[in-house]
Amino acid sequence: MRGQVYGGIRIEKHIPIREIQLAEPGSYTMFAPQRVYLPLPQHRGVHCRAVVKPGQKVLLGQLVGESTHHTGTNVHASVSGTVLDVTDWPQADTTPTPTVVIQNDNKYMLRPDIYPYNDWTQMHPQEILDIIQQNGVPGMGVTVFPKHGKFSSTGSVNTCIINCAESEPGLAADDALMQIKADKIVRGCEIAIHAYRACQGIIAIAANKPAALRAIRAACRETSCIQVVELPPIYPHSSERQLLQSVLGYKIPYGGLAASVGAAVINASTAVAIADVLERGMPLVRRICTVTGDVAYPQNISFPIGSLASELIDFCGGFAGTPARVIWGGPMTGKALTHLDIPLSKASNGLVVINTKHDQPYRERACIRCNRCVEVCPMQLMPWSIDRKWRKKKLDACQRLHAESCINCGSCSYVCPAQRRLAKHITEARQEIIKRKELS
Amino acid sequence: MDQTRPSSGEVFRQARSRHVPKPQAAPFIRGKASTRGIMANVLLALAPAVVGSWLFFGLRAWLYYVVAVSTALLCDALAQLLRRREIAGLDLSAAVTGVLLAMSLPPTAPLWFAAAGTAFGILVAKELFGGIGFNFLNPALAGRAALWVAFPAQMMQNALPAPPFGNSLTVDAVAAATPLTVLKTGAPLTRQSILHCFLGIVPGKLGETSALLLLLGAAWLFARGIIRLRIPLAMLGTMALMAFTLGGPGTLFSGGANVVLGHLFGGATLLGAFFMATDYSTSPSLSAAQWVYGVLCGLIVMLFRLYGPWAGGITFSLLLANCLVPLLNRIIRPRALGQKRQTSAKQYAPAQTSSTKSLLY
Repeated sequence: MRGQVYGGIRIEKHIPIREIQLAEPGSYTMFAPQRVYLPLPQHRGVHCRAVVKPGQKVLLGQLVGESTHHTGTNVHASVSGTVLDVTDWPQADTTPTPTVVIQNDNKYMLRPDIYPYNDWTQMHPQEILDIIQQNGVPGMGVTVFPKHGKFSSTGSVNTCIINCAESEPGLAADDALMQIKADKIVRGCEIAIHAYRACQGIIAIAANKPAALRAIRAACRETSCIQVVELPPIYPHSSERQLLQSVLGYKIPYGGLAASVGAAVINASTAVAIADVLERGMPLVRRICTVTGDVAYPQNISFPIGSLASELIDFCGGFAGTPARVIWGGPMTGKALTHLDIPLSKASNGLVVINTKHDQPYRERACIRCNRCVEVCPMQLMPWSIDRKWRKKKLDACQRLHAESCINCGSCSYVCPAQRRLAKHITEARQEIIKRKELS
Repeated sequence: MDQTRPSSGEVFRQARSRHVPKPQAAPFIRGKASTRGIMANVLLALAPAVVGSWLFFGLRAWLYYVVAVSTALLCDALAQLLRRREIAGLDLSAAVTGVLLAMSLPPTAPLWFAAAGTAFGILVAKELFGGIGFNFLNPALAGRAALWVAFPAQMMQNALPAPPFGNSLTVDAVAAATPLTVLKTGAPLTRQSILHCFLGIVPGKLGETSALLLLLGAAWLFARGIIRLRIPLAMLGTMALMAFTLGGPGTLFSGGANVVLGHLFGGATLLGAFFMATDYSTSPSLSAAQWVYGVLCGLIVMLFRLYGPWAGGITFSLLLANCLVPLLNRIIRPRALGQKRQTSAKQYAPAQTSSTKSLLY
């Protein structure tokens, strides 16, 4: 570890999210849904046009949504079967989105023209980027970014970092991925180095994942340009800025992007997807997510993109106890769902159920200014102060306190002894400031 | 798949129709810390010194604590009632104020001093300014200062402790000289008296005499992560430095180890440094500001002690330092990660003119 990261929390053992009891190290189960609901614009920005019609037969990996803009990514059928409908279906944020519904015929017939690409080491970097885009690989972190947009971002990249630190406490999808597909992560890293014209790759892993570390180290033995770095198991270490600070010792300038320090951060699932695309020609149709918390059998599940949350929870044996919240994403930054007929997207890495016994509703009390939020803030903000200003609607003051550089990690709310909704209010202030900046 | 079981989508819908939890934003998990827990830890840290006051001054000493704490809780509840808030007396912060105030009373004071001081601290210094987290003066210190101003003669008295359990406490012991008054006259302190000062067998206030017991409590607070050592270290360091350079009998740099230790262990120094200067709402937030605040505390205390009329001076110097905290918060601004010093000034200076007032709370 090169740099010291500010703040962060060591998530304590007593969090009400059960650790997954893996049947065997790093295992995951395959899931077969009855239907998949493929939302067309699955990432920030650009829309996607459906290229299939209701009633049409589709094969696994067949193109169903074509991006209409050069920064969009394509959408592929994640099962084979019949297109039932192209309709508006609610997403996690409850906004109805054009969605292709496919009835699974459980045959998983592969599109016949899927073949490995030519040797990627001989390809031009731009060609690799185009292939990645055509095969629908976005960044699969929390903020979904069209990956090749990131790839082609300005500034020369010399270090390519694969972020294998689990993004949130309780989730174990990356852990399983590292243990089972270590070689693919390493291959994805090599491809990314080539595509970015970078000179080195770093795979960053939380130090409390010994099995994953062993697997990745073994897979890295053949390559010389990739380095494995252990990160202290502190949340939110996997956030881009904190990761760079920790691994390279650089601080990203205020308001800047990772590219401005010559680094690109890719997460583990994306690396695997990139390797799949270039080595097997397989578009992104599945990913691994962790279904945990108060379900009967918490586990890592490899699901076809577009599976419904309710079906995944059924697959895990249903709820344990009366469900209070189902969280899309992780417990620190996720969204609470209002109903479960929500398809999981390319960015879903977790589904956390909290039952009425484990639910911790907020009972706000007066801030005692204990400074815990200031000490844990990885961005060195003063959350209590921003919160106080935001409640008085003093946007100028919030801006002076740099509310817009908040990364929404939720650490401040986690440690607050007075149960204040710091993260929520700072996020609101941040959005308001960004809106105002865009207006002016 | 088990066909008899209802689908989880349906289960969730029914659960929500029965009990809809308030919409809540992330995070959905929380750490263990609570206001009450923090205050309970502070009380626990004060416990050795409270036991010590029984040891040194007899069981009557505990009456002061009982009176002070019950007054504090009553005043707090009253204030919450008047402000039509939910009664938060059980968050124990008022109890901490009560204990701290009782600790700083002389063993010869009338009992109602404890009640009066606490009531002033809670009602005037704390609740009038908005309650917990909004007070700019430490309530215990404010109550103590009020008593000092109103009844200087009684507050000045000190009783010689009579361990064990204050059995031989007599009225004769009243005008005994504390280590600090000895230092004030310029007389040297012996190694023996420094040791007594460390253990607490010196004339003084109820809970302040024993450095050992206070340090035990401070160690507990530090170990539980309730306080950080920036403020106490800066304060005690500054005090030691000033005692060394200016506290000596004659020339500069002649303050020996005994003078330095006398200043650190004598009077309310340790109580002030670990339990009062670190008070959450009356100390700055940023670590740089905390260092400066600690140095300021130490500086003012030593100026009081060396050049002021009193031997002690923790009370008023900490209150003075409290008043400087808004200024510190104004000068030392937070800097977000990756932000450069210059850009901050350039980018944000113009905006500051619009609402300067909001910065001072």
